[in-house]
Amino acid sequence: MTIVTRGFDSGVVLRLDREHGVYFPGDTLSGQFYLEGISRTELGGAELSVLWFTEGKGTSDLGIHAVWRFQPEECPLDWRWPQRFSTIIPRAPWSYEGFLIKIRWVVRLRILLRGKSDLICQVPFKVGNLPPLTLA
Amino acid sequence: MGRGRRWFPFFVKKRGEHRTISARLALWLECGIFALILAAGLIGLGFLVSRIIRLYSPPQEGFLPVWAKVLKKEVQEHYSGEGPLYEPRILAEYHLGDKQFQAWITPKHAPLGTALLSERKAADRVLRKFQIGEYRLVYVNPAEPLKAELLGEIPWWTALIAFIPISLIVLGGSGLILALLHGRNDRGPFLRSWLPQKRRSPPMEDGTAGHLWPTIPRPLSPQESPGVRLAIRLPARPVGLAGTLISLLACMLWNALSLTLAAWSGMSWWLWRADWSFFAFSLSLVLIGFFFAILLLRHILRQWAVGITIMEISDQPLRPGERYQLYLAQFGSVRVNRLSISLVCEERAVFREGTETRIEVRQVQKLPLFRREAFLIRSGVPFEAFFDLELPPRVMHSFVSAHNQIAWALMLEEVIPGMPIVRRYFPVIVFPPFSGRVLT
Repeated sequence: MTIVTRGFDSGVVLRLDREHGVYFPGDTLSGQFYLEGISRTELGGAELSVLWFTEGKGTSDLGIHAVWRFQPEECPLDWRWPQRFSTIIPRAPWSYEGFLIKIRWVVRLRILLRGKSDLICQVPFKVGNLPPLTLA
Repeated sequence: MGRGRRWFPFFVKKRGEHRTISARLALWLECGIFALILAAGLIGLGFLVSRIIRLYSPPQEGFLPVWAKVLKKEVQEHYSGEGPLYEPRILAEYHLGDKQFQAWITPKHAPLGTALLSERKAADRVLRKFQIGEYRLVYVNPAEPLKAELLGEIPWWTALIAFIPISLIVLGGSGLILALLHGRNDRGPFLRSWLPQKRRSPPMEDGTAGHLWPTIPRPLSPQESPGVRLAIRLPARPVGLAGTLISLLACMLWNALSLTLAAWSGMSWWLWRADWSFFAFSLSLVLIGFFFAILLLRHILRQWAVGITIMEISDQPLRPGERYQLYLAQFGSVRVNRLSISLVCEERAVFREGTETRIEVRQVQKLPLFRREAFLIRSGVPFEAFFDLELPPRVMHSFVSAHNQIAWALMLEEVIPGMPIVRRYFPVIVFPPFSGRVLT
């Protein structure tokens, strides 16, 4: 599963290795990201997180499972080449499609640009394979 | 009441999720305002009651109560710089010892005891309550037998005045209790010290620590709540004890006040031919209180008088696809039309609407487990049943976060003739399946 986010003259590519995007607790979630058209001088940093959040009637809650922060000074990599990441899927919460509450999982990448607004792209995936609820 | 709700939101002005003043200060101020309202109500009611008592008390120590016959009534005019004033008077005849006396008496016609009225019509209205030839109770000074005083009457609108301090007492008292309970739910700093601390999660049965399941509530272990027939006895969800207690106190207060008022007005109507409309009005207050008491009694009966329910389960937490045994014991002395047990899943969402915090609950899944119809439960002999629960393989686990919750519970529904359906909930915790994967 690949998501590409582009600004006017730059872009972010975030890709999960598993195409169907369904994971179970204990599975390894892995993927890669790279940047296009962003020079080192304008790159302020990057933050990649694996998180769940709730949607629906209630106020949204959020839980961060894993997070990686990249600073250009500390991590002198060429980000035009794919940067890999991986983590183990936790046992809970599972993705859920209810009436008042929906639980979503995403991999979110935030690119901080100097002098420009941040670039954010996220790839949704599912934990578990619960069917959506239907009205009884 | 949802978390974070305040009766006076200006104390904790919200900007989105941010608050500008501490919740502790807000709670203190809230309690202070309700305490002030309560104090104002108590002072107002005390003032009113003292005026009424003074109205019905003998004018001075040593005055004797005697029955007097009304011979004549008239309105006497007095002239002052601001215009005429009118004094209603009655000529009363009474006996003190073996002597007969006649005296002009001015009735008190208000709790404040004013004697002179600025309007002629008002004075006539006072005198209309006295009939020539009827007997009234008057207080006479034995030292000066011609000095007599007539007891006053409570005008009907006194009850309306009484509503102001009573409302303040009810508002202030209930608000204070709710604010303190709210503070308890919020676990504010000043209450936290004397509240029991939250249970810390011990290691789970699979060897992992409880904190590895931050979004799943911790289930009761057999050591914490042992059962008699099966491993674990499930506690019932509380049924709003605080609300019932507050309603009970309010009901008792209302009925005590309205009965006292009715007794006073009835006595004054019967003894001194006071205004019958005031007595009728106070009786209507008693009827409202009686209706309120019946509603409350029905509620209490529904919750507690049916008899206790015991629910035990062979194991916890529940896992999708696994089978468990359940034991039910229903006590009481009642004929039951239908008793059923279901496993239900509820979604609870807390959200904000303006400055209010609201909660919405929706039952999204229901799995019938047990049903029995038309039977009798005898006193001391509980209805008992064993039955199985097989959790479907593809169900959501229990989940809790700050504003959202997915909760599972065993729901008992009891249909009893002449009563609303009794529902009791026994929360259970559902974990994800052992293997992590579920059957498709």
